[in-house]
Amino acid sequence: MRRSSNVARGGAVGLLAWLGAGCLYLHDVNQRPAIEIVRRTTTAIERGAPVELEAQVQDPDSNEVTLQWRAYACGATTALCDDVPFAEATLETFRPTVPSRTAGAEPVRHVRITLDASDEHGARAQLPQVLELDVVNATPSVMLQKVGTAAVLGHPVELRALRQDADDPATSVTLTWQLFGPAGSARPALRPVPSGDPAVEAQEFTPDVVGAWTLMVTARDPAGAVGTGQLAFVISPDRPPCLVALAPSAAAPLVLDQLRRFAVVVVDDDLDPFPAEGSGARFAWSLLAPSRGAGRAALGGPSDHAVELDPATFVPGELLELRVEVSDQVARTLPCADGDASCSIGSDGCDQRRTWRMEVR
Amino acid sequence: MSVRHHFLASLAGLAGLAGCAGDFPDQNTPGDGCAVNIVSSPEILVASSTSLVRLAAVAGERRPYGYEWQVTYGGQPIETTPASAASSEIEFIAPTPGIYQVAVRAVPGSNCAALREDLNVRAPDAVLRPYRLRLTPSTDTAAVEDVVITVPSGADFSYGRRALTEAVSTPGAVRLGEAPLPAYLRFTGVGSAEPLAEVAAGADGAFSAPLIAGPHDVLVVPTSDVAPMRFAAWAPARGPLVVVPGVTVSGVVRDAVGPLAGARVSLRVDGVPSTVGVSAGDGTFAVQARTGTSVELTVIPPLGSGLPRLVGSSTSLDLAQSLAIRFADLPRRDLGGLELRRGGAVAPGASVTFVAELPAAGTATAGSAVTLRGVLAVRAQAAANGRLPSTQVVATALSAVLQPAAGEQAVVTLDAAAPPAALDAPPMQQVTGVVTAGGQPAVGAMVALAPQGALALAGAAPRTERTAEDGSYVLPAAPGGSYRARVSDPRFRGAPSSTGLISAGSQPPHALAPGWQLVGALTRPSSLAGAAGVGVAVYCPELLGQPSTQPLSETVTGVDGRFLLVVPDAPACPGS
Repeated sequence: MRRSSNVARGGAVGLLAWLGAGCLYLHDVNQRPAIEIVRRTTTAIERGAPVELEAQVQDPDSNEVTLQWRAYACGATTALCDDVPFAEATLETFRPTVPSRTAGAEPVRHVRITLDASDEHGARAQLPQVLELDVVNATPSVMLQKVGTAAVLGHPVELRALRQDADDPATSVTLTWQLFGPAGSARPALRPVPSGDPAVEAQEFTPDVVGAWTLMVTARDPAGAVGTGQLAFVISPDRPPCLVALAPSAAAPLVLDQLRRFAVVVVDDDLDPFPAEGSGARFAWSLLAPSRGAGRAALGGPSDHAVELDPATFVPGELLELRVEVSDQVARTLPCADGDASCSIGSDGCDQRRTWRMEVR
Repeated sequence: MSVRHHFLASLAGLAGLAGCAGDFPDQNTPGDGCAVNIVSSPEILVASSTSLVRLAAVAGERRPYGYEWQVTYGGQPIETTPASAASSEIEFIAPTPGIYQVAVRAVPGSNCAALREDLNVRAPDAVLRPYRLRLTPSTDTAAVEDVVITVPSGADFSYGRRALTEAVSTPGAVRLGEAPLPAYLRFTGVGSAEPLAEVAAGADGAFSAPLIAGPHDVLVVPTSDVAPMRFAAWAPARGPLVVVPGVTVSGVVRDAVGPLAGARVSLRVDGVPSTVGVSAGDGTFAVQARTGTSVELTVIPPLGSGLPRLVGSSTSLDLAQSLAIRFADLPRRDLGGLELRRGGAVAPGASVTFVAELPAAGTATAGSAVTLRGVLAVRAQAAANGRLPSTQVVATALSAVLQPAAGEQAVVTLDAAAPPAALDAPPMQQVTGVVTAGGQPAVGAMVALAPQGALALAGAAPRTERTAEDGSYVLPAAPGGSYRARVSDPRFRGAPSSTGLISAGSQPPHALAPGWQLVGALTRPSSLAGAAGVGVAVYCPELLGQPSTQPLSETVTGVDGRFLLVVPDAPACPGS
């Protein structure tokens, strides 16, 4: 319901004529409201997108006015509109979302908007308003993403493309992938991998050169509209893992006089940080204990991030060396002598080896 | 009613508060007029389908016009009712125990961040259980610390947000009288045996330990022949750690024949180790020790004697008297010439450890006598012909832990009094099984086989593997050996749990144990920034100074400082 605001309040106009012989009363005549559709959306109208319209209403009598919006989907011409509206409303502002298909499953090319009005006394608008709008094909879009934070030379990198189209099913949008590598790259092939989402296409490749890479994906909808997406990312050389936190710290010689657990708490690595789901960090534990023979004896397996030592299984006064070395999926040789307590491939403080030295009491 | 949390220390972005995090600033700053506290009534919240929980927002510097609230449980919104003007108070029903996430924002004030806080709602029949949280930071700026928490049973629990404590580089010195004393130092909490920091004092006796400000117990173990000493509640203000000489505990070690040379003797008196003494040709020895009431004694026989290690404890030994240690008359047998085989073939270079536990293998007498038990662990390696050199063992029923090749083990029994001509190690076997979570295969769970019995006596180490896509695991196992399997899940679909004794073969499916979630967030010292890479391990409470090794559950904080782990439901702690 809306009351016209363009006419002075007071409404009825009375006319009293004094005609000598008596009084003549004239009832005021209820007038029709006047309406007009104003298009608020100034950009092209796309299927699947909303269009905003506003009703401008005038009622000479300032009566309450009831609006009736209707929106019809049309096919190739405005002569081929649906009989049943796809949206109706009674508010001043009408914001229907343009469907992709007509009731007859034709692509929507036009929309017909009608606006009718009546005042509280039943007087209808002088002329129902009709607005016919052309509908354009929405351009598909594609959002690109590199899976994971690491992008390392020689290891598969998964790329995902989410295709979106306002007026077509995402699955009807075809994607064309192009991968551009730095100079020297042999342009490794993209391989499709399952994405688990029909709207998402996923491919992986194994980078052969470090540096800046660019992925460009073109999305094309059934009507031929084209959108593109671009993703830049950097491929880095695989770095060795770093032993970041141990418990207890291996900074000083210890005394083993009670059952102790020696654990790797945190490993920093681009591909295999630990702990992390599916981490490929591998641990090599070894113990040098004179009472158990010469040489370092391996302890545990590569998935063990902790070992326990019980002084009761050693000889009091015995000096032990417990060593842990960490590796990731890349086989590397540590460039250090066996006697070195710690070792860093890069000599950069990123240690792949630490050694606890302790005396049994 | 109690003030539970300050706005500026809020858990911004806590999971389950969908819809707000992106709309509000991450945090407020002092003086911006946004400060607000949440006060709950009752103070201790208990799940109920009828009783109302009332939350009040208490403004700080400026009183806002009103508040916007959001309460969720398990990510689902909870219906709330305004209980005061401007919604400064709300009421809701919390029918289920666990963690309720509350967000409140002062309005108007689009620049104000929402205070996000966890509310712990107890089960009606909850029992309060203490746990110890060990926090191990990845950086030297924060200290290793133990925090005791009390958790109501039967529901998930939020630890809230806590700043790590700054590690203060605490200097000190160790002296013996006036002389500097090089030593190993172990700092623990007062009354605790859990090491917090371990450092070395150099030749000048000086040390620097990364500690939380405050007193610590310190165990000083000199590198010289001086009795180690424990200092209770030491603080730098008390000055140097002045070690005083201990008492000399002397005695004689004998076997059935007479004095035994080359035996190593060590004591722990009230938990403080002694020096290590070695018996001379006449069997005499001396160690430096502290006085006390509880004495633990370890005697290691000379290499090649075939005797067992003697261990025992007593509260009645008078260490002021001469300590007479006597090995029982244990007949011995030389197993030299025994052939080691692998799958029926001679195994040159194979090694073997003969193990046994002997309940009464000796005595210790000093004023009173105590029976010592024996633990035999004699190692030997076969020569190129697969035969053992001279190897003395106690002539009794033994287990032989064979290691025919690297990574291979087998346990066979023998009567050393009538030994066989050869010991054959069968091929390695496997422990196989499936781990499930919620009835589904649990990919990525960790299964650790911890050696028991003879394997443990021989010092065999555990072995861990990850479950495959179908939840299955395969672990190498020594034929004849026994193990316990500990199953844990890095994804915390369930709590860690252990099996009973198992041996090689297919195991019944193992379901991850039911448990409760412990969540929280850690920040850097004196900061609101999340502390990443902090090890968080949950232990049973420390009992009588006995340190624990195996955590009930453990994890590491993420980049935002948050952590989540699952602790077993069943009371897994002694005394609980």
